[in-house]
Amino acid sequence: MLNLSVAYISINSNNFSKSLELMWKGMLGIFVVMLLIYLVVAILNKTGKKDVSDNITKKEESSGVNPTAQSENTSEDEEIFAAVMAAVCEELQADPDNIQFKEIKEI
Amino acid sequence: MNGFDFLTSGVTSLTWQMVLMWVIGGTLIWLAIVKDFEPALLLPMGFGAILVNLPLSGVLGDSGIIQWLFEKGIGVSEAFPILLFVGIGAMIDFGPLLSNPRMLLFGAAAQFGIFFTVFLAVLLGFPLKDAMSIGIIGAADGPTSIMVSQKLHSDYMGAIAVAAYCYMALVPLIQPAAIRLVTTKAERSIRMPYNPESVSRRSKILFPIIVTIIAGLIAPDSVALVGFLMFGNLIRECGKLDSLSQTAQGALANLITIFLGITIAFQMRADVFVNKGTFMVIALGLFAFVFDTIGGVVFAKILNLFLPKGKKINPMVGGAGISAFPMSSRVIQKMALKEDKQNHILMHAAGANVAGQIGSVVAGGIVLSLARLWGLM
Repeated sequence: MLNLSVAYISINSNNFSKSLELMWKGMLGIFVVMLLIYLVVAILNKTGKKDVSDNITKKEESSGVNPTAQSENTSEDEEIFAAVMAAVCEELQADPDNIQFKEIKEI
Repeated sequence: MNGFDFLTSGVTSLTWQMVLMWVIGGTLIWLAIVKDFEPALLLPMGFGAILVNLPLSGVLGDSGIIQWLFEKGIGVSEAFPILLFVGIGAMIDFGPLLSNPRMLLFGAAAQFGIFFTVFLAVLLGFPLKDAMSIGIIGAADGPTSIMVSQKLHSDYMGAIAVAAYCYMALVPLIQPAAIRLVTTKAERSIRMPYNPESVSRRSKILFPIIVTIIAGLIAPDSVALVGFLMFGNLIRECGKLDSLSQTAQGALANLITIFLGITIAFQMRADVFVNKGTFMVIALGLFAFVFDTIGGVVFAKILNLFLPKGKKINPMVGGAGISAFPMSSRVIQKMALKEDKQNHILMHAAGANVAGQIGSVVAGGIVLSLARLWGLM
């Protein structure tokens, strides 16, 4: 009986130490993956910005600047639109399907 | 009377455990229809629970359809949960995360509940493989929970799936309570200006490929989940496969959801499900969700110690780092508005929330990698 209980405790203590090992190794692993992704995304965003500014310069050089031309829809526009829409709907307690922006003026 | 056995054999084989499972199945259907708790999953699971707990049920056994669906759809290669990830990936817009990549850190911090729950489950006497499966409820991600518990051959897979989906539906109740426990009103009122960086199409296309490679190199066991999630996202973002993207988000995801729910019910047979362990699993699942939220919030508070005034993070955003997308980010936005009617942190929370989607599958992969290393699978 005594032998059995000693064996039981040793199995549990083994699991106990493994669960602690899992905790630190697991959190470390996730943070390493996320930090690497963060790093790559930051680099992508930096190079992406450079590409965008290069393209704009090229366009301006080739066709001149047209101040009345409509800007292309970018994901940034969509995100700002979504944030503004969410804010307005929340403020008015209204359904987004019932609201439409007709004009946004700079004050 | 023996001649009438064919009419009475079902009734005479009925046990109280089976009746209890009918009640549980009925409760899941009630939660799905009346309370609107994850109806797409809980309704099939609830009905499936009744199906598999009819005495001498024809859906079980070698020629039983639910047993066949389980063996082929989940048992052999975890096909259902993995294929569902293609649909989920096609639904997710990683734009808010790409434009504000520091939110990735919250997707990592808010997985703390997984590992803390494993520790608690071991303390309560669960074998390590079951404890690891129970902890994954904290991934707040049904397919990941199902896949990990299946790979680890956990006896509690049915309870784990029920707990994962129920608590995902209960996020609007669990998260506010957990967040209030560890934040002050002033912290919840912190405003965060939204100045997103522009995201190029090239970044959106390269992101799923890069995430798959990084996650695959660090946690090879996460490749199936991360890979299919990112494959779905690549279909969405490439701009050339709109029809496939729509199919993945709609028809594919719906079809798999119907069969996944009813297939999981195979693990809700009375002889497997009705025991003390099941109730402990469901209780531990709640701990996992609470400590996930607390992990993300506390991490944000720690970061705030090093950030200058005006750049501080609303700690509630950290809580959105769990994977329950998009419910968690909506809950955080509502809480922010409750404290300050002009405080809009939805886009930050959405960024953390999609990061949580990546974090949870990576966590699942790391748990499986360590389980393999320790000879548990």
